[in-house]
Amino acid sequence: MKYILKINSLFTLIMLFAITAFSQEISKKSVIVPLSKPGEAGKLYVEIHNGSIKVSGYEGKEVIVVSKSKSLESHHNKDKNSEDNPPEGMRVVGNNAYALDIIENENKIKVDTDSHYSSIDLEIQVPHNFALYLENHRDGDIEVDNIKGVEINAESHQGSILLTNVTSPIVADTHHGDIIVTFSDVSSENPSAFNSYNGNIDLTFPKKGNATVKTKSERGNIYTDMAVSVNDSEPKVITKSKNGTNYYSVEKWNYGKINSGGPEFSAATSKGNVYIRVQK
Amino acid sequence: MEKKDLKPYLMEFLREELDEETKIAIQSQLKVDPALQEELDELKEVFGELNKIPSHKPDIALKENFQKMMEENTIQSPGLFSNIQHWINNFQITISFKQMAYAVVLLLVGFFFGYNQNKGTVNAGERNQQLSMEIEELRKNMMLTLLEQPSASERIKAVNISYDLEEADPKVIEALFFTLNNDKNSNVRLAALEALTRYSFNKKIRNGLTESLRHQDKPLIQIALIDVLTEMHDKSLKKEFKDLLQQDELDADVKEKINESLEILM
Repeated sequence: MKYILKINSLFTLIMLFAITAFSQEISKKSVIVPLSKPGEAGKLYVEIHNGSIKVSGYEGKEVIVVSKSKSLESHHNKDKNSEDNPPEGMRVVGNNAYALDIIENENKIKVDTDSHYSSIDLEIQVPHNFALYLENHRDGDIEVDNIKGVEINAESHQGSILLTNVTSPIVADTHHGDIIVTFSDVSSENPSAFNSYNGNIDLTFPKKGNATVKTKSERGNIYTDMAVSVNDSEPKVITKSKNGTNYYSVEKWNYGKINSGGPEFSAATSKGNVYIRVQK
Repeated sequence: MEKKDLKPYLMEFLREELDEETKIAIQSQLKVDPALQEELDELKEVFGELNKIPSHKPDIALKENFQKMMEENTIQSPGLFSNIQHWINNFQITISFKQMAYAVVLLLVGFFFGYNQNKGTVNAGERNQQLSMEIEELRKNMMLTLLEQPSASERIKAVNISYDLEEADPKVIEALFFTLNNDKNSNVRLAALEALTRYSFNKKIRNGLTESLRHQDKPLIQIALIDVLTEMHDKSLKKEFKDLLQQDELDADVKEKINESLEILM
């Protein structure tokens, strides 16, 4: 988390605002964040506890953050007094206040919310070449669209991770959700990794991409397109020897190649299925 | 005594440094010789003027400057080092390009001669071993460097390099454990766990993995660790697993996994 140390520099731009919303309604607020180095690559870090994160790449030179707090109904332990019947002679005017901090420092943007007490959906537009570091816990998915040539890291617990029109490398994991990725390009030499426990992992590769896929599902199945050449040779046996005793273990991974093979894409799930597809 | 002969003595006469004889001679001559008297008067006048000129006392600054100058000169004066430098410079000038070329050729011939001599004694197997050791060292260093990269993908790459290492180097093991227990990214931690599993026949590594289970808070990694530990069929793990079950807020999937593992370990 080195970037946090740099935040105190003169170039730091801090925007802090609290939004109050009328109950029953959804409050929406948008912030345009100008960049210190417009047109250059950048990084976006988002960490929220409750809520969804949606990031899309666009042709602009600013970062636009739109936040929506969800309806109170499902997310708060209702206070007795704020129930449908307010005290006599009173009405509800504000509730569900939340803070959203946006910090920009040399094209590194950090979006932070105190979303432990409220649920916030974030919709963020960034230039195409913004590396993404996204993390949420529950109450929403992580969605990314149209990001090119940079690394994407996404971590969730309850939510799914849905990435479309993105390039490798991607490192993503979730406990309960699915991971569904459509690559527009896989030419980066760095490995990608996907992990889920209960969810499916569904990867779609570009027609001309070269990749080596390494898949594992403990209780589910692995499905591949006809275009994926599965390495059906004998499974790898790992031999270890120690003090004259030999240990053998058979590797659990399945290997396959797309076109001529290339950087490694590993996909592992315990209870879900793995799908490896190649665009037609 | 002739007048001319006495003239050179006039100075000494004035300073009264003459012997008696010459003094008397000059005195007697002065009475008869006005020219000599005139000469003496002139000399007297000059002496008087000279004495009037105040003698300058050198001021302190002058002395200090002088001393400073002396010191500077002492520092700058060529010492042993600069002598050597000077000598080297001269040496370079005196060696011609041709001579230099001869020296290089001679060195290369010597090198190849020695190399071929060695070739005879060291067999191919040993050479290959040496080479693979060097590659091993290179891989190890590359892995340790990559593990410090900010990109999660780069760190996974680093962990994957460890599969190419033949030996369980303590530094590599330590780095893998550090990654398993501290890396921010779950996928990187899982990759490190998988790499360590290869060495799980080693008691120390088994203990390290058991220890790690107490630190992990992410269900995905807890479950993966429980899987690895269960495969070791170490009965002592039962207590470890039961302790974990006591934790509040333990994920339902982790609980389920522990109960399955406890059945296997029975």
